[in-house]
Amino acid sequence: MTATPPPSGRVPAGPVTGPAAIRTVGLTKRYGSVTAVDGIELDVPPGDIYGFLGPNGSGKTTTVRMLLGLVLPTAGTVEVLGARIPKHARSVLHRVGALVEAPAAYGHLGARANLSIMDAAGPGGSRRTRRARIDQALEQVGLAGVGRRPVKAYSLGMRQRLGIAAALLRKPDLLILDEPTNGLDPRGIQEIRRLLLDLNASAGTTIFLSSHLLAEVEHLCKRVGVVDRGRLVLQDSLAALRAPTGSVVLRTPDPEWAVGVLDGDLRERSGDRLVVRATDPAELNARLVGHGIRITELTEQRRTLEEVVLAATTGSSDRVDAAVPPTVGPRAEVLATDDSAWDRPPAGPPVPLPTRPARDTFSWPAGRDTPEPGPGWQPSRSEPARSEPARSEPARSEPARSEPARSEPARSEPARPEPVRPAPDDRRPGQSQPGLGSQPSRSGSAQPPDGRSQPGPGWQPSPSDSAQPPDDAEVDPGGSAADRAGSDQPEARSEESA
Amino acid sequence: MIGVELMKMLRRPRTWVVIALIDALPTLVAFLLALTDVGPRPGTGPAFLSAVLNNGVLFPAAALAIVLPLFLPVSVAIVSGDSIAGEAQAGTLRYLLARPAGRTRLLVAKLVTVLVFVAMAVVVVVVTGYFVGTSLFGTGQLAGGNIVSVSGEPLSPHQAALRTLLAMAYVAFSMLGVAAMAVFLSTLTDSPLAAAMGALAFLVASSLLLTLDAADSIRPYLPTRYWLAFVDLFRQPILWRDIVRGVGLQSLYVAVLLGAAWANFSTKDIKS
Repeated sequence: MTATPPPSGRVPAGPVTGPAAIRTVGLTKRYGSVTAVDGIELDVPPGDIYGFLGPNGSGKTTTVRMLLGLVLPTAGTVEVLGARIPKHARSVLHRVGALVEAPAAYGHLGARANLSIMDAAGPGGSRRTRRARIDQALEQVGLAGVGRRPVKAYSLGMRQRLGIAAALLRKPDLLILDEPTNGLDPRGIQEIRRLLLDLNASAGTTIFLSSHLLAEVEHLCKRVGVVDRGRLVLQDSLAALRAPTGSVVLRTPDPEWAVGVLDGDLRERSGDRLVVRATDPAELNARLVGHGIRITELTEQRRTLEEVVLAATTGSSDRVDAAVPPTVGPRAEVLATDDSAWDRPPAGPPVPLPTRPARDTFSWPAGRDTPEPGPGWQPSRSEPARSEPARSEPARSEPARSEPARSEPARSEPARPEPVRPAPDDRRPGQSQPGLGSQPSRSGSAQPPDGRSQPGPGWQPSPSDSAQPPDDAEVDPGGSAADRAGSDQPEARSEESA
Repeated sequence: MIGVELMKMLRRPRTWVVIALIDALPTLVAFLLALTDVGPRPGTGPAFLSAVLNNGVLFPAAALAIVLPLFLPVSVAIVSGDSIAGEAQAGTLRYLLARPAGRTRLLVAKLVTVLVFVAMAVVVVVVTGYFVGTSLFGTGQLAGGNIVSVSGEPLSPHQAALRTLLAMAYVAFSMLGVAAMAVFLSTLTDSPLAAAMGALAFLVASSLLLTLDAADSIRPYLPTRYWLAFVDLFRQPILWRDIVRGVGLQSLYVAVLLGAAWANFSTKDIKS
């Protein structure tokens, strides 16, 4: 996975065994009447790379702070590396490297002095090895040549690198990183990503990555937890979340023929692009080619992480609309009472999905996965039907609970035969309706991959095509020395160019 | 931890600027006195100043009296107010506590640092006071090396030195009430300025009430009430009553305020 050799001095080790790296039970934090974190149950096994996602203001940072004993929970328990926090913080937190929100340092001191102070401020940092550890950490993050310049003269990227160096200083078993690539340029992001993957692979370091950069998480993480308005609405492996939807997307210069051949398996067509229900892409390809149909492109359809997360969450709390506040929605209420929808097995044949502009993705009957959707997993036709009544409801901001008569009958009717297409006049164009995510529905998973959802303002669109696997071979680390020297990395690059 | 905090304070340029400024005022006063040879009439102006013209050995005590009412408390309030709030404002508090430094340990280390700062400031003032005083005003050879105490009796140089040391200790101890107040406020707010200003407001209020006859009944409990009692150390014999009361009162303030600071800080949600 990584192109760089393991950092010198580090003994390669297997994955950390033992208790969960992070486990929280019913973790809750209330500030007065505001519940910032509501019963979060995190489970991060040792050796994992865990992505902790959620819109701004959803409780990510508060959770991270509770993991580190900075914020004391109102209820529930936190265990980090097998020890209770905050009670036994002293015995275990020195094995945790943390970056909480922005990095911080004493501006009048240099990088080494800062790291030295932080190292001396707690247990577990041996004075004898301090200098060597500082040098190694600075080298790992690309600040080896930084000298004695005071931190107040650093660029944003250099501060970020210094913050990561501080987290790495004691070769931690667990890294808790909140937005670790803030302020870094694309090359810096790539370096840090590679460093983290390398630490995970060579030393078995567990990494807990809190971020709202979906591409970041998609490239790094094995497991993902999504938090929304204080609740953990999703916790699963990335592979399972991005399992094939049971459809194949293909392009052909002969769409008319193809439609004829495919017959009932066609789900959706826009020009020369067809979405076809097929569990075996190879078989489909053979069938089409057998009919003499030319294929220019054929891919298994997978949901992007962005689609998964947008479907699971409501709006950002930093967006404040005048008419319909996105945070006031029925979503959390419905979820709290409708746990059964999570466990219900997906059923029913696939539904052709209405074609609509990408802009509207937010207002689709949003989808949500079962914990382990298999590859042959199909969207259920009952869910779109269920979401329709809410869709046409005029009072969008009212909690769903106040409308039990509306939502209940629809829910108790799981096998409604025909898919309901939303009437066009139902839509309110240009207005995102995150409240609709409240209806647990599986049809969202069948979204066409190019119907990329338009993220809300709090979300950063992935810089690269998130359907692509992480491509580490793309950037040549050696050829970039000049580039780096010009940027925020004043490292003496002797070993790499040699 | 304490060593780390001390290093942090000593490596901060601000520490030395503040100490230099505290030291500058009595030095300036000494030069003005030496140039003009016009001392305040006995019983007016800062304590000891009228006696200093005859004997420079008393100038350290005079220097303490000059910085005690305002300069010293201001600097102590700034340094102690910065203790926790400054780390919070810089964002380093969360890293120190996640390190984990331990909240009580951090608070204790900060208190020790403040104490060391106060001691340093007092020592610097006294030492420069001694050199400036003796070089500008002589050592009072006319009186045979003896110093005239506040109550008129002569003091031997040995006695004077001892009493100056006692005075230093008492002045430093008097500052602990301010320090405790500023540290307590520092755990409440993330703004070091607010904490320092709050502690100063506390002092100004106390000084104002001292001058108010209507506040007579609460006067013995005001934190600045016995500050100038260190003058009594230079009486012959030493008048201990106010000094003992001053120490007791300061201890009470320190205990209550530091207890409050600890209670607040050890259960606080660190959101900075």
